[in-house]
Formats: sequence, structure tokens, C-alpha cells
Amino acid sequence: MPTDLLLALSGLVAGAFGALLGLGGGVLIVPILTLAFGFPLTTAIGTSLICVIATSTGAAAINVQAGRADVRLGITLGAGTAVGALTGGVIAGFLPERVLAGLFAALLVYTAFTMARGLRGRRGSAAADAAIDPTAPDGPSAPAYRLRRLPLAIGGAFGGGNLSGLLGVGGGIVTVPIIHLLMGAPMRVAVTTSNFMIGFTAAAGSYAYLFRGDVDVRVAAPVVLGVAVGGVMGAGLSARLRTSWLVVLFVIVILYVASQMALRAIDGP
Amino acid sequence: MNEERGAGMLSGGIARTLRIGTIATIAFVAVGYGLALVGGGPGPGPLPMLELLGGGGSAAIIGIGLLGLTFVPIAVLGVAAIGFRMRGEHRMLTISAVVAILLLATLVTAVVLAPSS
Repeated sequence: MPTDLLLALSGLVAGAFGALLGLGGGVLIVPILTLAFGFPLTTAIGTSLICVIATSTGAAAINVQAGRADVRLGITLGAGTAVGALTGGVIAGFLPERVLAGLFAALLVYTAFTMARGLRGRRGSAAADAAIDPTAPDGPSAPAYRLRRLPLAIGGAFGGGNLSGLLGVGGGIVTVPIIHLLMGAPMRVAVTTSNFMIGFTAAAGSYAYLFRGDVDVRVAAPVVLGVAVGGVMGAGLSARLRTSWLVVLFVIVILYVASQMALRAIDGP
Repeated sequence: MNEERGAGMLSGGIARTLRIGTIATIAFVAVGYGLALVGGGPGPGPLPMLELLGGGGSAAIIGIGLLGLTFVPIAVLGVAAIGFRMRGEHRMLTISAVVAILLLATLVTAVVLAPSS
């Protein structure tokens, strides 16, 4: 099968999984491009950041129109994530690939742990499902909320942006807990607002990679197109599929990928 | 009522910018990629964006699409700033402008730090 087709299929799978599980897709795209296709980690990260922008802008258009995302909060925290992402993108250019691989392995283990814990919390709680479903309808019963600890949250958003620029992920794994746990916004608002913010974050992070020459457009194009199509497919499927078993599968896959990334960190590329 | 209408216009404008921006830039990537496939041969490999755009051809069209995609969030901030100004929300207008300037500053920093060809 030609490499172009395989790249597009990889993007499609990452986009569909991302939409089904509420991820930007970066945690899948970076390992696929690095471990399966053998691209340098910086190429994979730069390509992933572009894909993350595409998934963010596509989903945010729907969430903002429906009033599910807190636009004001997203823009305010965007100041922190943008600076953090640029810093991360610049730092990544100076770090050895083995260090980046080690950091990515740690991120994958943390992501798997967070998803597994969320799965346990979800069992027997339909309300929790509705609370994290970004496609759930709004209504007069939607909870009002008062945000707190804004300066601390902007500092935390800087950390999320840094992670995004450094490792090519959306950074939602940091920004969602900041908005939900630290600031006190409902989970659904946290997820949709984080998704809206990810566009700013990934754009800021991607410039360092694009202008340094880390992105190969013949690699990025099929992956971005695949992610765009996969995202639409995943969003359509999410209403009909039970995602619990997908999360279990994802956690297993992600732990395997983490072990491969850890090996790459130890043995070198 | 006016407040509700204003909020709807703000979110509607942002959503339209996101939708149109995404579709337009993805279309650019698709056209450039289609031309590259028809043309055959290997791609130019990883190149700094300025060099890629200067080289022209299908790779430059893909490059314009990818770079355009990164400008969609900046356009969103512009639309949001206009919306906040119309609603008299000066604090949010300032924050939107600051974030847009920060994003443009990251772009300039990346260009300045880019290796010279």
C-alpha cells in the first residue's frame, strides 16, 4: 500500500478516535508517525500540531455556535497557552530526541491513567456521561457557574501550552482540569472551552516547527486530510457508539505505545 | 433581548469564521496534495516555510493551506474583538487584542529564529 494512503488512513483513525474520545488526536499522531513510519519526532510533533488545529477549529465551530464553549474564558486563558506553546516549540528544537521520547512516554502513561480513572467513575453514572458529552444540548437547566482563581489558571494554562508546543498534543489533558477543578466550571464547559482554546495553543506552537523546517508538507497533507475526514466520521459515530469499550482499547494501545516510546528514549532513535 | 441578540451575533461570527476558515484552508491542502499526486515524484522534503512558499508548485499550495489553518485562530480573535467592541465590552476587547498580538508575536519570533537558507 503506498505510504500516502497509509498516512491518510492513520490520520483518519486518529481523527475518528479523537472525536469519539474527546481528544485532539496528537497522542495518536505523534507515535504513529514516529514508531510506524520512522519520521523524526520533531517532524511528527509539528505535523500533529497542524492536525490538532484542524480538529479544534472544526469542533469549536459547532460548540461556539451552540453556546457550549465559554468564549471569554477561552480567549483569556489563550494568552497563557499561546506564550507557553511558543516556549515549548522553541525548547523542543534544542532537546535531544531521546528526551522528547521520554517525556512523551510519561505523557502517554498519564493520559492512559486519567482515561482509565474516568472510565471507572463513569460506570453506573449516566449523569456523568451527560456532563462530559460536549454534544449534549443546552437548556434552561444548564448550570450557572462562577469562575475563580483566574491568575493561577493563566499560569496553569502556560504549562498546558508548554506541553502542547513541546510534545505536539492539544494540551487538553492540562487545561480541562484547570477549567473544571481549579476554576470551578462544569465539566462540559471545561471540555468545549479547552477544545476552543486548543486552536490558539497549537497555532502558537506550530510556528516554530513550520518555520524551522520540521514539517514535511507531503507528510502533513494526507494526515491533515485524514484527520479532517476522520473527525467528521467520529463525531457522527459518537452518538451511536458506546465509547466505554473504545476507552479500554485505547488505554491498552496507549500503554503499549508508551512502552515503545520509553524504549526509544532508552535506546535512541 | 438586545443582550441575547448581541451574544448570538458574537458566537455566530466566531463560529462562521471557524467553519469557513477550516473548510477553505483544508480545501487548499486538498488541491495542493491532489496536484502533487498527479505530478508524481517525491516531495521537497522538510523545508522551512519561507523556502517552501518561495519554491512555488503544489508544495507551496499545501504550505499556504497549512499556514492558513494556523491563521484561523488569529482571525477568530479579530472577529471576537470586533464583536466585543460592538457590545461595549472593552475589557474583553483588550484581552482579545492582546492574545492576537501574542499569536502574531509568536509568528514573528518563529520567522526570526528560522534558519536562513
